[in-house]
Amino acid sequence: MTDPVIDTTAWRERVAALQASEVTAAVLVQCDLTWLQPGLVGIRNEIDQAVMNAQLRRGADLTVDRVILHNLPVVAGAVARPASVDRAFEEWHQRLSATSLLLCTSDRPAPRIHRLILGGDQSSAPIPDMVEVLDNGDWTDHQRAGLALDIIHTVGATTPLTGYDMNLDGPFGDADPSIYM
Amino acid sequence: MLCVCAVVLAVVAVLYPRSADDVVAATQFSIAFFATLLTGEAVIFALTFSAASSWPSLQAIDSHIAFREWVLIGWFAALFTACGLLGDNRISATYGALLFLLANIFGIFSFIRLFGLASVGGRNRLLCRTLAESLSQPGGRVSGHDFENSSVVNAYLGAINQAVTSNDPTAVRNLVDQLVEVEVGVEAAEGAITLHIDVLHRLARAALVSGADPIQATACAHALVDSVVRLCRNLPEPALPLGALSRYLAWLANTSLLMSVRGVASNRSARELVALSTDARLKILRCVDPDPKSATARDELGTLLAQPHQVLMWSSDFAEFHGAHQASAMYGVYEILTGTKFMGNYWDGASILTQLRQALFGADDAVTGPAADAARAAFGDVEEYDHFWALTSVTALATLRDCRVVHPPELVRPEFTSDHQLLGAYLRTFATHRYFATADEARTALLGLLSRTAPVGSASDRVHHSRVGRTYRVPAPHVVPQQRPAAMILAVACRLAPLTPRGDGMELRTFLATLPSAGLKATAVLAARVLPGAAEETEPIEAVVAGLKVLTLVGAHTREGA
Repeated sequence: MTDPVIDTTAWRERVAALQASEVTAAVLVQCDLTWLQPGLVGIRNEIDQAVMNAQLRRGADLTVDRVILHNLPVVAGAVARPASVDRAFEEWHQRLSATSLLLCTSDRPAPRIHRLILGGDQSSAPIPDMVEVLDNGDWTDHQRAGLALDIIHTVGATTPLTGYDMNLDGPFGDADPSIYM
Repeated sequence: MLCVCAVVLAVVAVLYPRSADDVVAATQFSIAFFATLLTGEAVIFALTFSAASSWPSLQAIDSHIAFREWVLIGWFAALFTACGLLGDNRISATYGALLFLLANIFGIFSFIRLFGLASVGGRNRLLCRTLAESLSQPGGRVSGHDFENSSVVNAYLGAINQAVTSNDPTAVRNLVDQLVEVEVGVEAAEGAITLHIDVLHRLARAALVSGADPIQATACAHALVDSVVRLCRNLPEPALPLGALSRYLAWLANTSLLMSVRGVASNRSARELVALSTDARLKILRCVDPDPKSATARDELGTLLAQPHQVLMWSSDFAEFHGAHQASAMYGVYEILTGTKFMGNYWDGASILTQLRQALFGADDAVTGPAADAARAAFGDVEEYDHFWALTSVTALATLRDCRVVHPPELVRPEFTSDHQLLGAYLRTFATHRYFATADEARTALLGLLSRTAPVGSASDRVHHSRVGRTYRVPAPHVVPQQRPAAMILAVACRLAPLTPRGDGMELRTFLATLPSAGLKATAVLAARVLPGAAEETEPIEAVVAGLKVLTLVGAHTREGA
């Protein structure tokens, strides 16, 4: 169900469109493991920042739903997967949480980030990666957007990324370095 | 050689067998001398060796003096002689008698070698060599900065522990001397440095917690620091170990202060360790700065870190844990990165990072030359430059000392004081690096810090992310900047804060007002901890604003005179 080749130009264009007032909603699915490759860090950063910038600027006028993986697949290939992929996955989640938590307020809602739960026998997400926007009431691809929205609304298929457990203060050793003694 | 002698003697015994009486007569003399040598060696062992001087086990000493070979020849000699006499075999008896002669000759050699070890210097040389060999072996080399596979290194650390626990300064000094005189190749230097830092930590902990003599501990620590610097000179990438040592020393000073204030450590020990920290960091700074204010030794001339990535790594570590001399370190950084000298004065409010930005990425006044070109290549673009230094300031801010802790007068040292101006000067190094000017831009900058994953190979990645895990056994772990969200906000806020008392701080207040309350409160908690005056304010925004007024103290002396 996934397309490993990521059309960076299309992603840039669609994400840039979030600034337009005609666009009122967007759904972004980034569940392919390709997103965690070092070579895609640049475009991933661009997308994250563009989405958050649009959300901060437009506030409640824009509703963004993002779908990312909750867990990495553990079926065939998991053992051979480089540890850097797992680290990148953790860091990405942490950064997305921190960004929402430290920049968004009640009057400037954060993008809704849904974490898609992969079953133990699943090697990839059941929906393709996509960036679809609701432009003047029409989805750029109604069918694909529907796929993503269906899974978002399926109880138990996803879990929200909240960042409720994020330690904003940093490690305790910063305040009391003597604990490392 | 021994085997050749044995074969030659066998030939002699076959060609010229002697009578049983001759053999018995000769053997009596030989055995008497053999026994004398054996007794002599036992006496020397008993009188001169202690647990600390024979740490790698007796095996190393045995292989040095060839004790086993000597005793083995004696055993063969006795066997051949006895069998020959009992079996009336003249050749065997003669061969045994000749072997006794060989054992005696070899015994003298062993005895002389043992005498060489009877002195402290001789033992130290042997143990130093043994340690170097062990560190150079693949099993002893640093692997995940662990020495689990090296029994010799572990035996050495055990001996250090024992000497420290028994508070035996001579044994400690001997053991440290053995380590600092180690000569190892480039491939084993990192392992040796890790061992140096481990021993340094054991000594510091003993001085703080176990009541070890701090004077002795710091004397050994200075030797260890000098040795690490020496070893770093051979490394192609010396920044990591040098930075680790710099971080460790800064952490040690803060920990000593805290433990002294809490009554856990004696103020005398804390004072010596604080002095060690500031002096050793100055020594490291002199070795890095290509043009230091003064140089007290030949090894302080030139710089240890010529590559841009190297100096960036080191400077990031050097600014952690409120380390002494961190602001003056930026002079050397500027000179290495641009090839020119920074002529401003940070005590007077000059901004090294702003001028460095201009020198590398300025539109008209960018510096040309190989050093500046290499630095530009290391950063890539000005965005990466700004991002890198912002992340460095996050780490520096998060690890500043708790300003609410009373700084005892006996722990005041140059660059280790509770002086607000000095703190302001350290903070201003980063706060004057203003790559944005408005609250809106600040929010974008904060978004960049929070959300941007460092691309592989970028300066930020190399310095702040890729080296996590290369600890050199420094007890304080490396923490990636994104795990310090409050410090990220403060790092952005300080770049909006007024630099003079006349500044209104409107942009700063506007920026803080846009933040959600959780983040703002965490930032205020951090400000209350590290910035003087912030703890007195109850409102989070006011706390941060009041704390950042420390920046306006810098340059006050020249403003008053103006």
